[in-house]
Amino acid sequence: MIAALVSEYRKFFTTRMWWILMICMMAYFLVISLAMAWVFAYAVSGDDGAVSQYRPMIYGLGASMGYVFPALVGAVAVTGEYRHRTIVPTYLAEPRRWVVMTAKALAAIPMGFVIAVAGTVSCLVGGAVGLHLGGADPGLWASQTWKAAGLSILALTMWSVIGVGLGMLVISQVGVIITVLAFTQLVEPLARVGLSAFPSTSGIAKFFPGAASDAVSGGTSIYSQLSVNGSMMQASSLSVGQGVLVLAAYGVVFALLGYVARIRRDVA
Amino acid sequence: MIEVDHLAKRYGSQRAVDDLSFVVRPGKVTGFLGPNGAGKTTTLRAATDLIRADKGRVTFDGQAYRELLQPMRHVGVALEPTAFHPGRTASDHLMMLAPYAGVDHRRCATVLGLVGLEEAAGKRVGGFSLGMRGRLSLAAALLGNPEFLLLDEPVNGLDPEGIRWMRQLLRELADEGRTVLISSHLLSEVEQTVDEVVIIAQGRLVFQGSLAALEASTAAWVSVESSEPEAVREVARRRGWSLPPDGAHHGRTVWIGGATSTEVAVAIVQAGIPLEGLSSSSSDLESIFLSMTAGQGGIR
Ligand SMILES: Nc1ncnc2c1ncn2[C@@H]1O[C@H](COP(=O)(O)OP(=O)(O)OP(=O)(O)O)[C@@H](O)[C@H]1O
Ligand SMILES: [Mg+2]
Repeated sequence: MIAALVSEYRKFFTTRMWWILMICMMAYFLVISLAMAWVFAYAVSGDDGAVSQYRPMIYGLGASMGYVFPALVGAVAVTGEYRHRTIVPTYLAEPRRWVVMTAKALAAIPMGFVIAVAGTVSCLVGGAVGLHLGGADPGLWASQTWKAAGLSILALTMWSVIGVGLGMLVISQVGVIITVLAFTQLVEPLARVGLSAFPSTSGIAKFFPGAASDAVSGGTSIYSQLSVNGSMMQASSLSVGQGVLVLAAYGVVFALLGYVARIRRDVA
Repeated sequence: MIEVDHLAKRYGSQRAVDDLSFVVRPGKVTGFLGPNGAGKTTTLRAATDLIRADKGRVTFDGQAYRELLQPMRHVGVALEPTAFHPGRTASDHLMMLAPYAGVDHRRCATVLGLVGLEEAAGKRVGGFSLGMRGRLSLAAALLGNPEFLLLDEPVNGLDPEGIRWMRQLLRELADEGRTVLISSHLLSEVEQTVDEVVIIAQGRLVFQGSLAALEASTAAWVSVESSEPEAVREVARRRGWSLPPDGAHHGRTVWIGGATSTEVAVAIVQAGIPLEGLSSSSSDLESIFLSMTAGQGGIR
């Protein structure tokens, strides 16, 4: 298992895909957190209570809006193996496929952590600059800021593990990219807004991966704000701990499905 | 010793490998031959657990591939010369396999030197030629210093000098007591490299033995051209002469074994079958190979 982990780690860091995606992610996080923070600070100008209440939301923007990036990094780490057929030498080196797949899932954690830290730092920098430009206190040393950053790192790390599970299930590089983009950017946002509009279905929406991610990164994302401020209904969201469990469950379920799909399948 | 034991694999209704049994002995280079689509790659994939055989098994000194704890240290395999990430360098590729083989960067450098890629060690595989990729596949197979080698079309993409180099390398590896199996669809390509041959066609064994035995066993093949090939085959069957396995169809040419050309000519004329041409096979191995596998090409 140690050999498999070392191998997975080397595979990951000898390709360019992950850092290209990471740079895109950092740029995106920097821009959205800067823009949102600036606009927000401008809008609430001088209301220190509002600033300290919503600051964690700005610093957690990456985890609530940009989790597609760590998910893609994790997914492509797996599908790239099939695309370039390096899965062949890998299974030749370790015919016990469960060892390889477990190593992939475990190796995703430290790699996801690196990406999560990079993304969260971008949000901190962008958010702080934006707040400052808008005349608000960035509050970088406030304990709630550190908590928001820590939870953002946790949520983003878990997304890269979910990505690995998804990659094992879908296998096709294009397929997984389309699935991830379509689900996170279109299906889920629409479904969350739609389902949370009705009291009877709002209980389901909170179990969506994006909603769970919001719960982890502070439970104060755009969607929960949207519902509270729009007073359409009581915003139902999970606690941080529940959010972690739900995200972990998605990672485990995808990985298990992928495992069942691949364990006996011919590689030819 | 590698033992292939009643191996079978179907794809849909097609029998890619059909009840195939043979053994590969240590200290020799064995050629695994057959026309395109004969089932060579399928056999090698099934032997290494990449695909699941429907029946039978393949063992390496009695152990199945999946039972080997660090398979790279026992069985070196080079199947696809394209299984590389184009963005990785040659040494990145080996380093990602090194933990499985239990070796470090020095061994990676050694095998790169062995296959003549030391200059290209730091270059991305995306820019490699077919021959260089083949060499890198071989380097990966040799990484764990295995006692068995399974190489699928190893001379593919090599220039004449490369073929000579490969021949010498395989010879040395076999002389060290290793078991070396190399596949090819051309006997001439490996004729000077191999000691033994295993010939298959349509997933079934056609011949196993030394090159000398191959020559001897088919010295008397006669090829007959006729507009009625089925009638010619019927005559051969009635007389108890041998035909290539499965009564292979190869247009108007029928190969007949166990008879002289005169006997064949007389029999055909007596049967009133139009005879358009007749020749005894030369001792040229390639035509022997063709006669054995004639018309059993892969595009089925
Ligand atoms: N994954 C697959 N799905 C369906 N059919 C397959 C598959 N792999 C191989 N086959 C079929 O099985 C037969 C044997 O193929 P195989 O690749 O083993 O031949 P080969 O002897 O290696 O030929 P070549 O000399 O062309 O490499 C072929 O007819 C091929 O079409
Ligand atoms: Mg082949």
